[in-house]
Amino acid sequence: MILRMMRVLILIPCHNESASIGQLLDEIHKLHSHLDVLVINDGSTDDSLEVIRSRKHVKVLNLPYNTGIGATVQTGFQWALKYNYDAVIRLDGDGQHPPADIPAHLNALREDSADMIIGSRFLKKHDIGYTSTFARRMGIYYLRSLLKLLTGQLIYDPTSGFISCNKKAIKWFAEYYPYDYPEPEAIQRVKQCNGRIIEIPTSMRPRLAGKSRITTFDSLYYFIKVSLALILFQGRKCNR
Amino acid sequence: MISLKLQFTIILAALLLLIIVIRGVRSGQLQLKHSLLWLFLGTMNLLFALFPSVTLYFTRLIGIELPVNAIFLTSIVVAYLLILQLSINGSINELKKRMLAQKLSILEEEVRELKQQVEKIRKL
Repeated sequence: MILRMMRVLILIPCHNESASIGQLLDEIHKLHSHLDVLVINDGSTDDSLEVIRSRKHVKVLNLPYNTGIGATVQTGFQWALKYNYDAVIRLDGDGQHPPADIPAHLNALREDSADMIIGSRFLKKHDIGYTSTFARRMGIYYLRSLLKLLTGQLIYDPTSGFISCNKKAIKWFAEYYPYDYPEPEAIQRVKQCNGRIIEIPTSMRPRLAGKSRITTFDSLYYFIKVSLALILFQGRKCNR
Repeated sequence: MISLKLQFTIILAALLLLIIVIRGVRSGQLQLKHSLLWLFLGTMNLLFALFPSVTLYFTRLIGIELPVNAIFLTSIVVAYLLILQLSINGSINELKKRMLAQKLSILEEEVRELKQQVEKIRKL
């Protein structure tokens, strides 16, 4: 067996997460000090940047203004492509995705189980950390059905931001990554590139600090935007 | 009531608009978030022309005499909204462009200074 070190990049988008990002970075460093960590600061107006820069093991890309989650994550994939990483694992900056679940992603990547691996909240029976409202569960059920209809694959957690990608998927996402609530469209993109997707169970913790920014208006926009995008982009080619 | 000819023309125009907008979104030339108002405009006009009785109901509700005026009114309101959206986007883009130029000029000077220092060290 050829033993070659897989070069893995932990990718964390960060927009105004100064209350949680430091703790998250320390936790990752303690558990996985051998992995490279890249935080992309998306025009934070709090002192997130100072907190990130105080952790010397972390690389930071500082976007000059708020570009939105899609462009932020895509920047990370562009970095990973340029510096020839074998895999990317993406976590949220608010600490909802437990770094203790990173090894499960690493194993799946090493075994080449898929091109994109989704950490799913809904594969675990005993989910204590994550509580959800009725509306949110309905929304996820709806997205699940729509994606199944359009891509043919059932994804239990289509909005999960806890994903990992191999080299192929890094290239796809560096070329194009959807904006504004990009996760379901990212799944569609991988399928359009004939990529393989699997889900592995993960728990989600409550946010370490801060509040979710999603309001009722956002939910309505989310619903319309994601539905329209998925339907309009149906049948698009991988090479855009 | 709307004449059959006008009904037909509006349906055709609305369909054409929808096709152009959807093609723009699919090809990536038009961002989906900027297409929402256009899609709304096309859909409203299409529905108004397809179901004149519904149009009639609404026109009576808000006191418009001629049903076809409801179509024009909606179109004008949406057109104003679109122009407003464009103005806002233009302003935001200008701000962002300015910020990028400022950042770039600072970076350029920093890179130049770094290069000079590297040169000096190399000569030692």
